[in-house]
Amino acid sequence: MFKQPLPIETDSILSVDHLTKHFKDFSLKNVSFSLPHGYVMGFIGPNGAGKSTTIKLIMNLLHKDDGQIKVFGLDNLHHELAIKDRIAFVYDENHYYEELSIQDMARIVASFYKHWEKKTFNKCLKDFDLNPKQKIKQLSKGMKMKFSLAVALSHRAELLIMDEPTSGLDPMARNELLEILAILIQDERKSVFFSTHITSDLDKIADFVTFINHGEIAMSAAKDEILEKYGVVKGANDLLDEETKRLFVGVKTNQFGFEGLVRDKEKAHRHFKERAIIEKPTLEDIMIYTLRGEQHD
Amino acid sequence: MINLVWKDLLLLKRSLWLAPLYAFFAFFAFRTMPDGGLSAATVAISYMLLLQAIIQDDKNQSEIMLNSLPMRRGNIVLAKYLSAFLYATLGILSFLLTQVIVTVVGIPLSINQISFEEIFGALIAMVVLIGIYFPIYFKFGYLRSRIVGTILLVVSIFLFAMGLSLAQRAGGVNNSILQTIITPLQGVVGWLQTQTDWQIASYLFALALIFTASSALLSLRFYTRREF
Repeated sequence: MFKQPLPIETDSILSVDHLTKHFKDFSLKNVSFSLPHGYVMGFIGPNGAGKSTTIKLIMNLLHKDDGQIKVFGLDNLHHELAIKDRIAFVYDENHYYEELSIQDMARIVASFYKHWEKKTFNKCLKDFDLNPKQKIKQLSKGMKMKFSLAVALSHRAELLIMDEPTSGLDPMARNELLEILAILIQDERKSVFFSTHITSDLDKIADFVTFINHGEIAMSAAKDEILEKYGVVKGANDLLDEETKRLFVGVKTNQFGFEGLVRDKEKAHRHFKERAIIEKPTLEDIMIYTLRGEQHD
Repeated sequence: MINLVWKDLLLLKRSLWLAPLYAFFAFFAFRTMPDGGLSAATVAISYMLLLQAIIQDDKNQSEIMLNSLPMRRGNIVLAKYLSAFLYATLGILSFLLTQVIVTVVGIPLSINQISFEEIFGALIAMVVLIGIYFPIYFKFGYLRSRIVGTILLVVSIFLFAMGLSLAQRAGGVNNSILQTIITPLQGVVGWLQTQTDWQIASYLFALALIFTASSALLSLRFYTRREF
C-alpha cells in the first residue's frame, strides 16, 4: 500500500505554493503559506473566502489547476496515501454514517490506518463522555465533533486539519472543543491547521494566522507578530486627511471621530504622536477592517 | 477493499432481511414463467441492496470522509462491483430458500429446478445492470443517476420476460419485429449451434468479463476525476 520511497522531509509540515483553482463563479488565486512543524495555524476569512476550497485541495477532494501542495515535505498527490495515513481531519459537518454506532464506525475507519490505537480511542470516548453503542444520528452536533476528534486522535496523526470545527456549536460545546484542542497541542509533535470564521477561537491556541479573502491570501504570519505590528487608532476626524488615510487598512468614521486599523503601529505613533490613541487589535479587528476598508456612518 | 464491502454490509444490516421477501415476490410474480424468476430476483435484490448502500453514502455525504482516508479511489469503485456480486449471490440463495420453503410448506406452486444456465443467465442480467449503471453513478453521483438506474432495473427484469412473451404470443419466430432482430444474428446463431454448451458458456463468460472490466475501468476513470 505504501511502496513509494519517501524523500527527506522539510521543516514545514504543510506548505502551499501558488495554489490556484478556478470555478465558474469563484477562483482561488496563487494561495501560498506554510506551517512549521509543531505549531497551530488559524486559517481565517469570511464565509466564501476560499477556506474550505483550500482544505479540499490539500485533501485532494478537489483537483488543483496550478500550484503545489506539500505535506510532511511530500507532494500531496504523489504520496497521497502515506500523507493521509499521518493526517487527521475534522470537517464542519458530520460525514460519518448516521445509521452506524460509534464502535461500528470506528471499526471501519480503523481498518484504513496503519497505526490505529484502540486504547487511545476508548480513552477519548471515556474522556468525551461518548457511549460506543450510541448511534451517530443520536449524537448532538457537539458530540459528533467530539467523535470526529476521537477518531482523529487515535491513529498517531501528526497533522490535524480542521475545517470550521466550531461552526454551529453552542458556546459550551465550542469551549469544550477548544479546551480539548488546547490539551492536544501541548504535544509538540502535533501540528494543527484550523480554519474558522470565528476569530476568537484562535486567541488562545493559534501560533500563526493566515487570512484569506476573495480567494487570495491577505496575510500570513505569526499571530504575535501580527498583533504587535498592527494597531487600532482612535482620534478626532480632523486628524484624517488623504495622506493619513493611506496609513490605514480600514477606517470607520462618525460624528464623534474615527477608528481605524493601521498595518504599522510604530509609523502611526510617529505620525499621530499624542493626538490619537493606539490600541492592540484583536484578530477580529484585523479581519473586519481588512474586509470593509473605508466606512462612514 | 474488503473493509469497504464489510462497511456496506454493516450499513445494510436492516435491509438484508428484505432479500428473501423480494425472492418470494419474484417467485410468485414469475410463477407462469419460472425461467425468469431467478433472474428477476437476483437483479432486483442486487439493485435494491447496492442502492441502499449508495443512498447512505449520499445522505451522509460520506464520500468526503472516505476520500479523506488513506485509500485509493479505485478501491471505492472496485468495492462497489465486488459488493454487487455478493448481493447477487445473496439473491440466488434467497431464491433457493424460497423454493425450499414453498416445497416444505406445500404451497401449490410449480417448482422449476434451478439449472447452472439459469444462475449464469441471472448473473449476466445483473452484470448488464451494474455494467451500465455504475459508470453513470460514479460520473454523476446518486441523485443524477437514479432515473437511469430505475430504467435499467425495469429493463433488466422485464426484457427477458418481454422477449419470451413477444415470441410466444405474437406469432413466435415468424413475428416481423423478431425477424428484424433475428435475421442479422442468424449467422451467429448458426455458428453457435456448432459449438458445445461449455464452449458457449465460456464465450458468454468471457464477454461478461470483458464487459464488467470495461465498465469498471470507465467507472475508475470517472471517479478519479470526481470532485467533492
